Order: sequence, then C-alpha cells, then structure tokens
Amino acid sequence: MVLLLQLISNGIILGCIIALGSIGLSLLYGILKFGNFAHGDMMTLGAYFAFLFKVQLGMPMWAAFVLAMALTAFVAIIVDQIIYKSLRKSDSIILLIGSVGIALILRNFIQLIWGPQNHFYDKGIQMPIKLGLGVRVKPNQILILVVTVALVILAHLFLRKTKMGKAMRAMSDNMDLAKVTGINTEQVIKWTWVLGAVLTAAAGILLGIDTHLSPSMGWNLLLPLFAATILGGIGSPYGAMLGGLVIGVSQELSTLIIPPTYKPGVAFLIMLLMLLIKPTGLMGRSV
Amino acid sequence: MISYLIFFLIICGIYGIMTLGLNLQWGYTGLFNIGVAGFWAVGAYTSAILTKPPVPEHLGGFNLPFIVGILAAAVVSGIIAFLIGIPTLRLREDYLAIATIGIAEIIRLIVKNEEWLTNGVRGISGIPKPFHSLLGNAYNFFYLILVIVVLAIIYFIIQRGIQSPWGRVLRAIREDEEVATTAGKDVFRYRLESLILGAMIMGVGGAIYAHFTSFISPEAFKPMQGTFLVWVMLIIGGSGNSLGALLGALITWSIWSGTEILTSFLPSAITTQAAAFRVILIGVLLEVVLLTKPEGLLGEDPHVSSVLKE
Amino acid sequence: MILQVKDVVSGYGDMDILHGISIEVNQGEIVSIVGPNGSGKSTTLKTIFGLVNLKQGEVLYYGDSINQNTPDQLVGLGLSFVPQSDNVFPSLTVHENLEMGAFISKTNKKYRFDLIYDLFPPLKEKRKTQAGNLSGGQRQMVAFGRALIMEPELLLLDEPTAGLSPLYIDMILEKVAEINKETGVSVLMVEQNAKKALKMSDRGYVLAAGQKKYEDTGQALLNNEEVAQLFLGG
Ligand SMILES: Nc1ncnc2c1ncn2[C@@H]1O[C@H](COP(=O)(O)OP(=O)(O)O)[C@@H](O)[C@H]1O
Ligand SMILES: [Mg+2]
Repeated sequence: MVLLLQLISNGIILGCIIALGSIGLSLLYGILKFGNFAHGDMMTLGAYFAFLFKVQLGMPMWAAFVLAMALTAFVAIIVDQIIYKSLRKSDSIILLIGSVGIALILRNFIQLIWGPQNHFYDKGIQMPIKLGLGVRVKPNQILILVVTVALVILAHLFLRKTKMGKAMRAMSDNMDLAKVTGINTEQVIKWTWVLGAVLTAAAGILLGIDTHLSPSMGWNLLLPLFAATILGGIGSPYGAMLGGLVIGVSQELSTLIIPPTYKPGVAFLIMLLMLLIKPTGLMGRSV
Repeated sequence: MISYLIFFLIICGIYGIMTLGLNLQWGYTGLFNIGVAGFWAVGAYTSAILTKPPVPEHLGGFNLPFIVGILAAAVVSGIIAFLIGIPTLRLREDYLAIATIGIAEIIRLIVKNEEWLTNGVRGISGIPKPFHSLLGNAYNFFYLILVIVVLAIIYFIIQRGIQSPWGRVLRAIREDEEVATTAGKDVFRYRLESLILGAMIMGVGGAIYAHFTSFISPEAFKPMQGTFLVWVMLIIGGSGNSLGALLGALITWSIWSGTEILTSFLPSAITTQAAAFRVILIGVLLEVVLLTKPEGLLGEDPHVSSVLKE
Repeated sequence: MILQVKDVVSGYGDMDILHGISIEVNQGEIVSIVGPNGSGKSTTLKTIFGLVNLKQGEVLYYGDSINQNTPDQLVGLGLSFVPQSDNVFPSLTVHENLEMGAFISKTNKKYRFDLIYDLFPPLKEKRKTQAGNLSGGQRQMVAFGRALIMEPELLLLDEPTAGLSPLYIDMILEKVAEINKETGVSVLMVEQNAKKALKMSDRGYVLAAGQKKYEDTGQALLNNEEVAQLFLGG
C-alpha cells in the first residue's frame, strides 16, 4: 500500500514534467500538422540554459528559470524561421524529417558546449519529507508540482483569454478557415513556438531539478511526450496534460510488475493501445 | 591504405543495404520508418546467436552455417515488421514514425537487459567469420566481394519488384491512396508487404554487419549510427531511386568517416566534442539538402513519378 | 466597380479549373454565380481570396490588383469570405468565433459584437456554446457573423444555404438581402438554389466547366429559356 502510494506520487512528478512538454508538442502538432521530433531536445536545451545562468553565471534560480525559458523560445523562433518556415510549403513528413535533423543538431550542440557528463543545479542532497501514510517526497518535488500547476494555469489563461491563445485553438481547428478569417497565421505560429518552447524548457529545468542534466535527457522523454500527446488527442492541450499524468503514473506503477528498465516501453504500449482503440485520443477531435 | 579502402567500402556497402531497404519503405511506399537501428540489431543478434559456438554466458551456440544465420535474420526482422505494421499501417503516416522509434527503443532495451539472450551490455563476441581460416589476410577483400554480391542481389530484387505490377501499385498508393483504394487495391496489404520486405533487407544488412565485425553490443545500435545516418543517406541521394540511395550511402559515409579521420588528429581531450561536431555537420547537411534540393542528388526514378500518368 | 475578375485562369497543381473567367461586382450589388456541381464556382471565390493559385489574369479591388495579397491582408482591405463548408471553428465558442473574425482589429470594439447579436438574436443566448454543438442553421449564422464583424465592403458567400432546412434557406437568403440593404455591403454569392438566388440578385453569372456561359441581370437570366432549361431545372 505504501509502495503503491509512493509510486503514484513519483508518477505524478514525472507526469508533471511530461505534461508540460506535451502541451506544446500537441499544440504544434495540431497547428503545423507535424510531430516535432526535436521537442525533447528543446527540453534539454532549456535545462542547460538554466544551468548556464544559475551555475555558470551565478544567478538566482528563479531568474535562471525565466531567462532559460525566454532563450529557448528565441531559439525555437529562429529555427522556425530558418528551417520550418520554408519547409511548411511541402509535405508535413518533410517537416518531420527536418525536425529529426534539428533534434540531432541541438543535442550535439549541447554536448559540444557542456560535454557529455552529467550536471547538477545543486550538489546538495535534500532530506525527504514524510507525508502521511509513509509516502516520502523531496522538497524539490513539491516545488515541481507547484511550478507545474502554476504554469498550466497560466497556459490555460493564455489559451482561453488572450486573442493569440484563441487564435491558436482556431488554427488547430481549421487552418484554412483561420487564414480566410484574417488571422495572421505566421504570427500565431511564432507565438505557438514561444508557448511550446517556454513550457518544454520549464519541463527540462524541472527534470534537471528532480534528477540531473544530461545531453540525452529530453530525447529519452520523447516517446512519453508523444504517447501523452496521442493519448490526449493531437491538438488538444488539455488532453496532453491528462495524457502526461496518465503516462507518468503508469510508468511508475509498471515497476510493480516489470523491471524498471522497461519503463519507457510502457508509454509505448499505452500509445499503441490508444491508437488501436481510439486514434483520436481521449479528448481529441477527428484527425 | 588499400586495406583501409576495403574496410571503408565494406561498411559503405552494409549501409547501402540498409538504405535500399529504407528506400523500398519510404521512397517507393511512403512508409516512415525511423526504427532502422532496431531491425539492424535484430538481424545482427539473430544471426550471431544462431551461428556461434556454444558459450555459457548467453543463449546461442547453435553453430549453424552463415547462410542460415542470414536467412533467419531476414525472417525474424520480417516478423517484427509484421507485428508493428498490423496496428500502425492503417493510421496516419506519422504514427508509424513514432511507433518505429518506440519499437527500436524497446529492442535496444531488450538487447541491453536480457543477458540470457544477448549477454547485455557486454555484447556478443566471437561471431564466426565465414571462411576466415581459409582466407587469412585476403579475408576483407573476400568479404567486400560478398557484400557487393548481396547488395547486387537485393538491388536486383527491388528493381524487379518495383517494375512489376506489385511495384506499380505501391507507387500508386504512395501518390494517392484514395485512387488506389477506389481501384480496388488492398492498400493495407501492399504497405505491410513493403514494410516487411524492407525490414528483411535491413535484417540481412544487420547479419552481414555482425559477421564482419565479429562483435556486437547495444552501443552499436544507437539511433545516430543505426537510423539517422541511413535516413540522411537516402535523402541526400534521392528517395525513390535505388541508385540514388547507394550514391547517398557512399557520399554520407565518406563525409562521416572522413571527418572521423580528420578529428582523430585532434588532442584526445576534445574527441567527444569533435564527435558531436561531426553529428552537427551531418544534421546541417540534412537541413541544407531539405531546403535546397529536397528531391536529393539523383531525384526520383522516372518510373516512379510517371506512375499516375500511365 | 468594387471587384473586377479579369480573364482568370486558375486551378489546383497542374490542373486548370477556370479557363478565363471574367466577373464584375458593382458597389452595393448582389451578384450570384450559379451553375452545375463541379463547374468551378467555389474555385472562383477561392481564387479571388488568394487561396487558389492564380495562373493568368487579374483580380482588381477598387481598381487595384490584389493578386499578391494574403488572405489576412484582404480582410484588412474590406473583403470577407464565408466558405462552403467547415466555416466555423468548432471548439471555439460562438463569441470566440466572432472575435476571430475581428482578429486584425487592434481594439476590441464592443458595438460590433452587439450589431451581430442584433442581426442574429439566437446567437446571443448561445454565445458561450461551442460552435461545434450548434445546429446547421445556427452555425451558418456564426459564419456570417464572423464574416460581417469587420464591417466588410465585399462579402463572398459560397453556398450559404447548403444543407439547411427550407425554413432556414429562406431566412438566410432574406438575411443576405437585409444585410446588403442596411449596410450597403456588396455581395458575390454562389448558390445552389439558383432561382431564389437570381430572384434577389441584381446580376448573375452562369458557369459551366470553368467557363462563363451567360451573364445578365438576375431577372433576365430567370426569363432566359435556354438558361432555365439547361441550368435551372426547367
Ligand atoms: N482542392 C482541390 N484539389 C483538386 N481539385 C479540386 C479541389 N477542389 C475542387 N477541385 C476540382 O475542381 C473542380 C471545380 O470544383 P469547385 O470549384 O468546387 O466546383 P463547384 O463549387 O462549382 O461545385 C471540380 O472538378 C473539383 O473536383
Ligand atoms: Mg462549391
């Protein structure tokens, strides 16, 4: 029982990180109609930018957090303007191939600058806090939960209350109609990259806080990110949040029955099942 | 120097086999498989396990002949492609992409963790090199001939298949699935066949690789070397063109190993940096080709693009 | 003259659909395009709006070429388009749909929304409902509202009554006439109900196989026996 609760609580933490990453992935997927295979590596980039500001430049964590999100968004826009913008005219699968290339470039750029070894934001070891029923969490994990909830609420308000957010949902609904309506689609696409990059950078930083930084940290999460996106329904940011939690918790719970090394396989299996049963996802429209 | 050239050409030829398999799937059928490394590993391990003499550490030691190993590699890869194709080939093309990444990852996890089968991270060594004792020093030259023969057979099979009615249907499906469906073609079956055949070719490539290096471990089947290089080769050479695929393999492998030679002169302290830099170079090359010459160097085989006008 | 389509050739990919079409709309007019299915009516409207590649010819708006303008620029110039199908954002609420129509506007002018709700009272109580959950007729009202919210000068309508019940058909067409009369917006409309459309139109065009077959006042086309027999179902 304690083990079960402990696994669920670990799963929620992991789920938070996956959810943050997959909101942007899902929006980009819905609007640009391609799966961004560089999304995991954008997450890594965000984490390393925060490392740059916090550890290498000695800034406070909150400032490093914000600056890293902004810098990641900037990189995302640059990449979009140089690469994806021209590729948008061709088949969406060409965009996908392009993003695979970007994934490689980003990951190795990180390795080039910061080396292949692990890094930490903080060398100290935190004492876990005992919650009721014998469940233990580290203070950092509570921080992760709080930051995630705050960011999700902000993303929600952005999507519901701002003109740009509404336009994103409109474009995800129907790109052609959005153009006809007079929406400046290129401008909205830029903002979608900003939102996606900011959230995924946050996910990377939180992952770095929870464990450590490594050049492949985001790439290793790509499968769970896609699984959460497909589970929730492509183009549905709310579905992605739900999908992220489901994937995170299932991955942790799976260790009750299978060796932990196979955790990534669980996300894959859930995704396959979803594709077989209901390809549009839990909260998705027809694709 | 000559011996390096032979070594270079052998590896290049093995990549050529992979690229031909991928070209069948992507170039001719439009199937987006980014799990090449998975099929590569399956082929390599299957043949290795079947043909090795017995060892206590892991399964294997069947001492079967080389040719049986190769055929078995093809069959097992084909079966895995069948299993992955059933749930995904009816769906959008990008779902197949995600699914193949997943399957490659799971294969890598199995190879890494199931020590009874694969000896885990320590890998399998002593994979027999066919006729090694007979040939001695000339061995690599012999192996190069072998690779070329296999490559030629596969090339021939693909060209025959593509020009047959079966191949015409494949291309029609790629061009316009709806038209093909209305023409009464079982689109799903054709796609599945192409996926399986392509995977079998990759399995053969994996087996040839294993018997050449004589040692395999999970490290060899990381996505970079196993999958992305093959993709870059195909895109650069020209998807939908078997000759282009081979040319792309030659060019890309030249760049990849050429830069490796260059960076080997650098001080050892920065070798990991140099390796990263080489990958960035390949990535940039891919983007440049996509932006400036998306059809690749040779472009599509004229047979392919004219299919709808026939 | 508000709109002039001059010898336009356009189509999808290599295939030409329109083979030299010329159409004119004068200020304040209602102009209808009728013709059999697949004759290129929708393609004509899409070409005007820059959604289909223009290969030859010219589209002039108040005498200036708009060949190179993007759709959002056209909306800024005072054109507005209601496509034939899928013309609302299903996951957005009614009010959000209207807001999207006003995307290019820097300021949020409330009176515009009030005007639309006055024009289509049923929308007012549904303003927080997702458009995907509305009936066909209500959806069409949302699409109209979205297109009208920037107070356009030229309204392009592609089969505004397609799939509606007879009751709604008359209601929507009457709305078109009413909007035209009250706001002075010029209307270029494609309609399946050719007779009804021509009756309320100042002028009309008959298209077949990507070519203009007839052009006259609405009434004259209705009285033309050839047209009646070939295109208006006797
Ligand atoms: N997106 C498209 N791609 C290719 N062909 C199209 C497309 N849309 C329409 N067509 C073709 O163009 C022709 C004219 O279509 P359309 O303008 O929609 O006719 P109408 O509106 O008069 O019924 C038809 O033959 C149709 O098949
Ligand atoms: Mg039409």
